[in-house]
Amino acid sequence: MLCFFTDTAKAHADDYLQELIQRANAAALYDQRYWHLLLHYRRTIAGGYESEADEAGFFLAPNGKTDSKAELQATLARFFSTELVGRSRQPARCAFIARYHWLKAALAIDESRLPPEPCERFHAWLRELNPASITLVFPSAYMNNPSSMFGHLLLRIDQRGQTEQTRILAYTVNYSADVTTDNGLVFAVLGVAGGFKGYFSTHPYYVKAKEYGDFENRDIWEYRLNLTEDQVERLLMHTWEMGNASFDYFFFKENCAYQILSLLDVADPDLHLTDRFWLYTFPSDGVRMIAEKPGLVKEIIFRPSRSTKIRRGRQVLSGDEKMWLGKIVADPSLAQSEPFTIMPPERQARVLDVASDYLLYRVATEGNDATSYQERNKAVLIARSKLKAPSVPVAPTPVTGPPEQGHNVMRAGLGLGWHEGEFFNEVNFRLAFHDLFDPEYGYTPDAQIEAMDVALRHYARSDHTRLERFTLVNIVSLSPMDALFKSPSWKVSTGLETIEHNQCRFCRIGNLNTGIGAAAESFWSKREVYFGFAELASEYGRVFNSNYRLGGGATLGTLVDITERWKVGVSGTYLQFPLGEKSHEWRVSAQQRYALHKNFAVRFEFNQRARTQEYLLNLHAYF
Amino acid sequence: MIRGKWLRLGVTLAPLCATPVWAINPDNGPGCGLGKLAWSDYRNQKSIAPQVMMATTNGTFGSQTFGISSGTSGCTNDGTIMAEEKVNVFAAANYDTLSQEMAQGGGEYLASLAELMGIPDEHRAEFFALAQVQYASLVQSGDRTPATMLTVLHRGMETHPNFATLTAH
Repeated sequence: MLCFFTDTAKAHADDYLQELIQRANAAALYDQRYWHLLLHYRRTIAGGYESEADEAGFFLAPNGKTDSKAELQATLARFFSTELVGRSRQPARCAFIARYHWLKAALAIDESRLPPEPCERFHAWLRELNPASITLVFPSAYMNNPSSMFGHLLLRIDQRGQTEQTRILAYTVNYSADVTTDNGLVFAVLGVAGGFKGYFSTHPYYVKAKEYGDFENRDIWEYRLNLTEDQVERLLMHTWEMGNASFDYFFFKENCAYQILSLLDVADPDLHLTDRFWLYTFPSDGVRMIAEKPGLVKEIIFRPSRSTKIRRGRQVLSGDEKMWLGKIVADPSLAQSEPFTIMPPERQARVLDVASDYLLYRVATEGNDATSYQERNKAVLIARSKLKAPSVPVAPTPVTGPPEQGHNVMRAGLGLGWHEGEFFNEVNFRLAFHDLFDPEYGYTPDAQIEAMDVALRHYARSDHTRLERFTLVNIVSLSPMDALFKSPSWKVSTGLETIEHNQCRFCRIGNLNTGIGAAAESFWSKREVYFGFAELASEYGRVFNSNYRLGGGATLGTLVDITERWKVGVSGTYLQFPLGEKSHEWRVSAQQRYALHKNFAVRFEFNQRARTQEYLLNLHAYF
Repeated sequence: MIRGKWLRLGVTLAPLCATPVWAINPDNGPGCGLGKLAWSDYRNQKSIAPQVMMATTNGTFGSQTFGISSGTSGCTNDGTIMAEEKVNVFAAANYDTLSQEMAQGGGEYLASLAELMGIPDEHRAEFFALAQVQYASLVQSGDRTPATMLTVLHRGMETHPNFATLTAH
């Protein structure tokens, strides 16, 4: 009897499944954009579709990665089973709850014929997240870690009843690579070629705020998004599904920014955020796209890193208080002795708060000496705990504009120049990202990362066209030092260039240059930065006797922001080459840039190398 | 397609966004292993120039702890922290900032701790004042662990009429 009953039930279920599959096929649901977004299908060059997800358990059909129709049918079939699927081991309707909800609505699935699955794990998770809205979080660039040079992107799930003070308790949605190697070269190769697996995770925001703000000293920009309750729910249902997925992590395109944007596309398919990317996805481009959508961003909040907090805190101190700050971080016992303790408690508190932030900054960045700073911080805090004065938060003024207000990352230029008595025209193109003379607003100051920069020149009199320069990569990180901050500056560059040498007028050479140095800043005009580098240089080319020269030298220079738009810089380099072709060389460069608009600038430069001189006027457009 | 890959290879060796460099220690004790949650192996920013050439990471990844729909592991359940461990995990992850804000008598982290401990908004100011007083006891204990920090705070709260009910268990 029982057997007969279940057989009938099964027959009914089979009928209903066949009916649903027919209706789904008739409506061609497998071709619909939302189905493609949920399964991360992208059009292939051959014209078909392939999912970017790379874990078999994310698909319910064996060929689901490449066949959206088979996947949809298999998905419907599994909805009729309580068998556990996916990495998360749940019934299909819970493991892939966003798919279920979409199909249920699209096919008007009758719950009396397919009784609902309770999905207790999902609902407990959702209750725990307590979602009210979504914030896009952009930790800005961190030059001292190659994996963070362009910033990062994650989402924060803001909770109901959350305040400015308790937002650190909210969970985030973060996508990152599971790095499985310690070897730098292997890391780079695997990272570029998609050799790591990327996973989504939900760290509390206080973990992320600490990692970026306290350890890496990266300022954070938060974009509170205007999403409806339904959109937030769709996003979270899909996030839950991501617990079954992994992706091959490609540093340049399928990276954190791309995957985070793909979640927002699921929340609101009309955003079309991931459609536009073809070669690479910069986190700052992601922010730019979000900021450009009318009405999507409700509010922008700046969260200063610890080092920014220290700098701002120090700015509001009087000369006297600054003197105390210097003394106390070196010898905290002074904080409890007579001349300091007779100051009003508010002023003492102001000094001690910056002192403690600074000592914690040293604890986080020092490694070996951390204990000594830890002890000093404790002594400062003992003195602080005796003061009943409240800490007055310093206005968190950012050091640069929000990322979406910076120039676009690609650059093209048209130039006109004069080289040793001959006029030339130049066209140049740079794939990415920013150099020290590009308009700075929205970018980390004093940080240059150029990749794939090409310049072609046509010389008028001799009527010939040459590749003037190809820069593979050119990175400069200047860190102005002062009484408290003492990070070194560094640079590295490699590429091809054209030089005049040994009676060869236009000779192509390859170069590799790296340097370590120091920088300082002053504020006479708007801002001036001074820098010096000790450097190693190697150059390769047939123009040299024995085909190369290897040596070292020094560079000194200064950069002056005269106004927001106008920047001037001068630098001089002396290099001595004791290996290969024994030689030495002086180089001098003077440049100025005027920003016409965030995406247009003119630049005029003078360069002298050995005895060759040239002048160049360039118009740059960023797009 | 091949061309695209080579282009990508050539762009630069630096990836476009962060990969993890720190880890939360795997839980190896009962419950959450309070105090074991540490910022281990965080690579400090001392040696920098070589890192551009040698993009090394030496941390393991926290995605197992906070992996979505990943089941139960240590103190998390499907990637969210178990209710009874929330205060402990928060105190362990933010020990330094919390001690600083205790000494200052207020701040974002202390307010969030109060929220997790169920202290109503109207008593927050008293909680801040109490935490500032208790900072001296924390230092005197000589023990730099989150467990001690919470014990010290609880001891202060027990003797306070507004908080006694929260600590009575």
